[in-house]
Amino acid sequence: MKIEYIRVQNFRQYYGEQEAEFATTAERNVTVFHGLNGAGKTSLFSAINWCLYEAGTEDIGELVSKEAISRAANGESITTCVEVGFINVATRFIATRTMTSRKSGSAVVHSGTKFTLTRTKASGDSQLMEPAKYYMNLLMPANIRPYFFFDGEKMDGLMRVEKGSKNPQVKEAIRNIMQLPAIEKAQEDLTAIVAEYRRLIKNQGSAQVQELSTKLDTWVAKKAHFQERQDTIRTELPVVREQIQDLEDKLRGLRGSQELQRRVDQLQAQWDSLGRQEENTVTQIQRLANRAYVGLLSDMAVKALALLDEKREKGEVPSGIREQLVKDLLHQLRCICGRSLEEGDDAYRHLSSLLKSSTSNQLASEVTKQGGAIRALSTLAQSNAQSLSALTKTHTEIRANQDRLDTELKHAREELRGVPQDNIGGLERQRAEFQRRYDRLLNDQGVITSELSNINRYMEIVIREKEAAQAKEEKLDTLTRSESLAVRAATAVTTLKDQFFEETRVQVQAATRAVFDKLAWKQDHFQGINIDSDFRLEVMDRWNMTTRQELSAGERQILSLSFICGMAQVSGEEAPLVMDTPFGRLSGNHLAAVAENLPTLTPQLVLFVTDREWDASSQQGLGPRTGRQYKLDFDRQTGCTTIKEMD
Amino acid sequence: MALTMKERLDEMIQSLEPEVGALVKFVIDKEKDNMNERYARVKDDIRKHIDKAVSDQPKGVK
Repeated sequence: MKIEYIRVQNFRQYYGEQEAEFATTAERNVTVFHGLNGAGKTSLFSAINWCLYEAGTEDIGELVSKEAISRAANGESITTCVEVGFINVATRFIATRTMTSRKSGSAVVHSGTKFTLTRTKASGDSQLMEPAKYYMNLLMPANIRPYFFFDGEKMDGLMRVEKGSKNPQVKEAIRNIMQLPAIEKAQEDLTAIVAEYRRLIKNQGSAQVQELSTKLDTWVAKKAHFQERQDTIRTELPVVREQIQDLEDKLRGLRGSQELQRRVDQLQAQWDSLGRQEENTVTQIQRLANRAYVGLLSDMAVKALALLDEKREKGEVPSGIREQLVKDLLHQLRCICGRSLEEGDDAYRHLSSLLKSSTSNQLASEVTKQGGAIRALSTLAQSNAQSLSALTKTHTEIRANQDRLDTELKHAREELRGVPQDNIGGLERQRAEFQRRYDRLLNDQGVITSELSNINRYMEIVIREKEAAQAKEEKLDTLTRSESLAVRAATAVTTLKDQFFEETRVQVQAATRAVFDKLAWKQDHFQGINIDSDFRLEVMDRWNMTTRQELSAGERQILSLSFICGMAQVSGEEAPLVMDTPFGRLSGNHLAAVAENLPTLTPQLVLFVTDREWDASSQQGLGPRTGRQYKLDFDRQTGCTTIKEMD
Repeated sequence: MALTMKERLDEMIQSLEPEVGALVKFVIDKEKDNMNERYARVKDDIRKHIDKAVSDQPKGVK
């Protein structure tokens, strides 16, 4: 890092806006600001610290230009700004810190500061670096600022030995500049992370996966078994179904023959019935035939009846009223029509006359009887003739039906002879057996489907559990590998830290000694500079005894400068050395040595010197390397300082 | 010309096994950031770095 310019506005005694450019070339890398006491050296030195780190202004009072305050109206804002342009590893940056204040009576009220860091790209474009403080610290950490931007009058304190002190400032300086705490923290982080990984690994179990794998294998085997059985059933079912179908077809055929047989049986039964009817008819006909003589008597009976009728008409055979009947009517005095009679009336007399002509009961009965017999005989003859006719007709019909049935039976029997005559019962048993088998298969299929469904469900559960357990195992594996990496890194960083710290110690010790040899005039007196493992710095004298405590203030200043320059070289921090009143305590010989050597020990040297420090000796030493020289001109009338560049 | 200690630290890190060196550098840089007041969740970031490094490892690496 090399400072290219500073621009101040209303900062301390720098009223208005002023600017100074710094020497940055390798040949002329020294910039000198010189002025009387109180001219504004420390203010300008503080402006750099304030701008870059908002530090180093704790004990210098009001930062706002009092001239600006006095000129501002009450309530008016005053802008205080410091801008530092610098170059770092060939990249330009502009750091700007601005504070806006408002005048309030005789005082000012500050509103805080705003810090920006801008990087200028090679193309000329600007890029705002955010967060500015972070990037500023990356360029040059704030904690090493005090070792590069320092008050020369106090710098000997770095090497001052307080009673009982273990020289903590040197140690802190080494640690900060070398950024050793980052390595220590890295070691702590990795150690903590290793412990954390181990704790996580301890909480991971792995036996569960094996157990679940075994369980899953069992389910897989069961599933395979059921699937095999299901496949068999799927193959077997249509075969059995086909067998059943065949049997049913057969049975249907047999049932047809049964029907035919039944038809034959029915026809036979009908034929038998007709046979019996015929036989009966024939019997009846024969019976009638046996009484055929009655028919022969028919004519004679007719004649006999005609003769009787004739005799009756002639009165030769009784045909009147029965004697008893007439007697009864007369006795009852009642006509046969129901009318009452009286003795002597006409009806009575008529009945009485009938009594005279009535026949005896015996004869009448006999005549009536014989007449009836003759009539019955005649009727029978007629009836027999009719029955015989009917029976003959019936017989004819029966015969016709028998003939028809004969034909049908003949056809049915012929048809029956053409039908296979298997055992229906046997086939039915076979069919039933196949059906049972088919039903069993269907049942088995249902059971297997259910089992497979259950197995799939169980397997899903086991798979999920196994996946979870495997995930844990994978996590375990990942954790183990993470822990392995963290352990290796922790081990490496421990080794690295020890080695780096030791090398740092040796390098800083050597570099400090080398610079010290250039700057101190009593090189022969000092045998060496030792930095122990705890980074305690000690100067050994010619008697190889510690002598730091005995060093003069100037010698401590030289030792401090040597240490800072040595560390800067060793660390690789390309930081300018910005020193306020650096030579106040130095004697002539030290001043000459410092003036001659210091510009070669740092990439950039910025000195704020008093007129006495900027004497002939320092000018002689620094002159050839001085690129920019300014006089800080304090105006006693205004109380303001003007930066004036000197030739 | 002797290396600066900054360069030396880089050299020492580079001499480590690449995976380990990358992690060590990552952690040190994180802590440098932290020292520079850019406070990060350092351990979380380190764990993420390790997780990624492990996931990037070829299979079978223990």
